[in-house]
Amino acid sequence: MKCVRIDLPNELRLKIDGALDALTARDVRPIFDQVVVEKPKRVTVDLESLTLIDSSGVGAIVSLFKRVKADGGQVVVVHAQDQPLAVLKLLKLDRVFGL
Amino acid sequence: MAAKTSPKAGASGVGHVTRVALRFRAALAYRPVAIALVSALIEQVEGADRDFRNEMVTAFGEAFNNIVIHGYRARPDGMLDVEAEMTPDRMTLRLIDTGQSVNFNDVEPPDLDSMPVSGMGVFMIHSLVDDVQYRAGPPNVLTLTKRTTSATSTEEAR
Repeated sequence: MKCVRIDLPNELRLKIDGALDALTARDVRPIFDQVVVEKPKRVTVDLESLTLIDSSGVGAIVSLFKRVKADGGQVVVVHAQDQPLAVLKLLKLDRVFGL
Repeated sequence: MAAKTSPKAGASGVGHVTRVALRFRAALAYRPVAIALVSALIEQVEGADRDFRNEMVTAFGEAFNNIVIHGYRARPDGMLDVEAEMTPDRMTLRLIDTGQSVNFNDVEPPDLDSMPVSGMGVFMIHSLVDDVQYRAGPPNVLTLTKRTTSATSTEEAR
């Protein structure tokens, strides 16, 4: 799993590759925590290259979503496909995340 | 990790049956290889499409997590046996462990509207496979069965 942060003029983009699961979710938490501290207005989580997600990975993204929103910001998730998209739909997060 | 295979002709005339036994150390570090092996075994289910693969792999992954995290609670000597049985239209995974029992029978759905950050695994398993059986041990035995869309359609038409 790799999580790359890209600072753009109007948004902060997080690109997550590989598998975001119980094994790797702990690796993204420090990155997400830092994002939350900065109180961004808009965060885009790009899942185009995410191949697998489990409930732990979903929990990490939901936690980011809630904390950014609590500080007045917005999180959108883009380009989820295949297994990750199916999991987000099962948990009724596709609409909340703007998919 | 160890593996044994025993392809056999189906005794009930339902077609070829392939049985594979796998053994893993019950640690999250083994999750990727466990997922990869189960994904490869799905190739033996002729009627499995992409949805079948995604759903079975997701359910197995959640079961693996729960056994490792809640069953063995990071105990370093835990082992997880996985017995897989594949026919052209069905896959059964039997996960056998000697850790603490996990309540896989709890089918109370989480409040998804509240966007929970945990407690979704068992709900996901029950949503993604056709049958979940759990017998608390020792050893604990969790059996997940999933049928292909064509098998389900045939049974519903009867």
